[in-house]
Amino acid sequence: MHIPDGVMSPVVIIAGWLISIPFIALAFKKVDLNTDPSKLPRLAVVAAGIFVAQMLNFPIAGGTSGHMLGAAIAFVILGRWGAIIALTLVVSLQAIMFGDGGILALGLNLLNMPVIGVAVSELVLTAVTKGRWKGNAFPIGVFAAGWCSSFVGAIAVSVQLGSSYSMTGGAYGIPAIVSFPAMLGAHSIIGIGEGLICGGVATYLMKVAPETLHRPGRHVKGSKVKEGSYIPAIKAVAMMFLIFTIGLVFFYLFVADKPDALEMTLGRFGVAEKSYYNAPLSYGDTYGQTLLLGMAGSLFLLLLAWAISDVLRRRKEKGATGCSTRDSNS
Amino acid sequence: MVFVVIVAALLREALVMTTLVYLLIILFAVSGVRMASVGKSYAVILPFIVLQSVAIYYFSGQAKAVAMFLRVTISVLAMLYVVLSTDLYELMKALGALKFPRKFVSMFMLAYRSIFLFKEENEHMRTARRARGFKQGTSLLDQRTISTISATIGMLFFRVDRRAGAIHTAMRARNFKGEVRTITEFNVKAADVTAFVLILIIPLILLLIDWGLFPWKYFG
Repeated sequence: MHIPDGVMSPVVIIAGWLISIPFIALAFKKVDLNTDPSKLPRLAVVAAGIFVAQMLNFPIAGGTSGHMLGAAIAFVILGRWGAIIALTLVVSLQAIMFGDGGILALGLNLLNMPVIGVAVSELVLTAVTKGRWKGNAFPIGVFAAGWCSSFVGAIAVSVQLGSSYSMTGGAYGIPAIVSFPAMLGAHSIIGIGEGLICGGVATYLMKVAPETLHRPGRHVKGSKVKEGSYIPAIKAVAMMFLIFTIGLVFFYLFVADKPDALEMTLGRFGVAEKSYYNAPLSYGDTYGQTLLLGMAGSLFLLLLAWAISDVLRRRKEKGATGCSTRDSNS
Repeated sequence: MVFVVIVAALLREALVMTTLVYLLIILFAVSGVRMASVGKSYAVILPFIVLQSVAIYYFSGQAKAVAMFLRVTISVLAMLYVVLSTDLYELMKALGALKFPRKFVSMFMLAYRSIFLFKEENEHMRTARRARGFKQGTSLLDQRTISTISATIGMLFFRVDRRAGAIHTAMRARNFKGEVRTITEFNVKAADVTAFVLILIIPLILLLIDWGLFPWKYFG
């Protein structure tokens, strides 16, 4: 997933720096190393461990590499901001001292691994465990977080490669038709290994040395929400919308007005598109329209998911009540 | 950094970039960096560059593929030059001198040292496992393999964490506050300024040629 220099277009590189820097600055502000210097060695150790794990990488068609990400385990040990700092250290260390990943492309690498990786890990782990790190939900949550962080990071790299290619007419980047299958195919498999290792290590540490884990904070009086790593659903939805809104800017800047790789190939070989079905809705012609329709679509999906889960929960509760009645009768 | 900015972000002509590759090779030869180390490090990154260029070749043609290959090669070689010709602690000191946050430099150093702690602790654990008659060799798909790997990594982290904590306490007891001290003092001499100006001027001239501001690129 390390992007070397010379691959991405200058605009995408600048955008990468502009997005990642505020998150990393915020992480440094939140993890106050001046008041608690004991955090420093643990941050460094996690960074070194992930660095060693990431040394095992292999090339993927599309000019980047496939390897373990480590965002999920970093989040479990250090929490949100600590994990961002540790992964920032890893990526910077690799670029500055070992020439792995570019110096200019560092902004993008910081965005894909520390920022997106940790955010996805937190969202998934919180969603699966509901903020309570115990029982079977914890290893399953860490596994899911490991897989998702690797996969979403790969999506981000593919989007960046595709955007670079589209906006420069092929001088930089890789066509999306190559970058997406190559990156996602490889990372869907790497993600399984990553998930298994992260889940296994987290479970082992929870059993052997629970004090090493950054666990959700104490219960807040009168609230069902736990402090620390638990993000309320509204916050998670807001974050999704934020990511979608930012992603859409890229889409409109670099991709929207140009044909995609498939359309280009079809055009080159003179194959005309033939539609068998006309959809009643479209993505819209302007940024505002697409943003509005995208948000409406997301809301619709969220409501649908909520309704399905509610029906399933009710059925489960009904089943459980039935069982207990039968038990008490016997 | 400026060099990489010019090359990685702005150059597009293969001829100009070939010139830069030659210049970098000369720089490597003059600096006394072992060419075997350069070759080894470059060989690691080469498959990435080749795959990238092949993809570009199929979609955008030969010229853009060659340009991409050379551009990434120059960027990687430039970084390797800095990494291989500079001592780590001097690099850290230079980062400090360039006003990098002190805590960040401290973490860099601790993280770098921890890599070797991991290596050492892993060796200890491997010896202990062998002493107990442990044999490797089960399949990766075996459930016990995953749990063994997870337990090894978990214990490795736990042991290194303890050692790193002790090392950091010892460093603080010696009044370490993130400032890197080395025997070599950084003094800017006339030769350094000349080298810096050259490093700026050469790629800038090549950039002007790349953009077609000098006519001699049409001579060939």
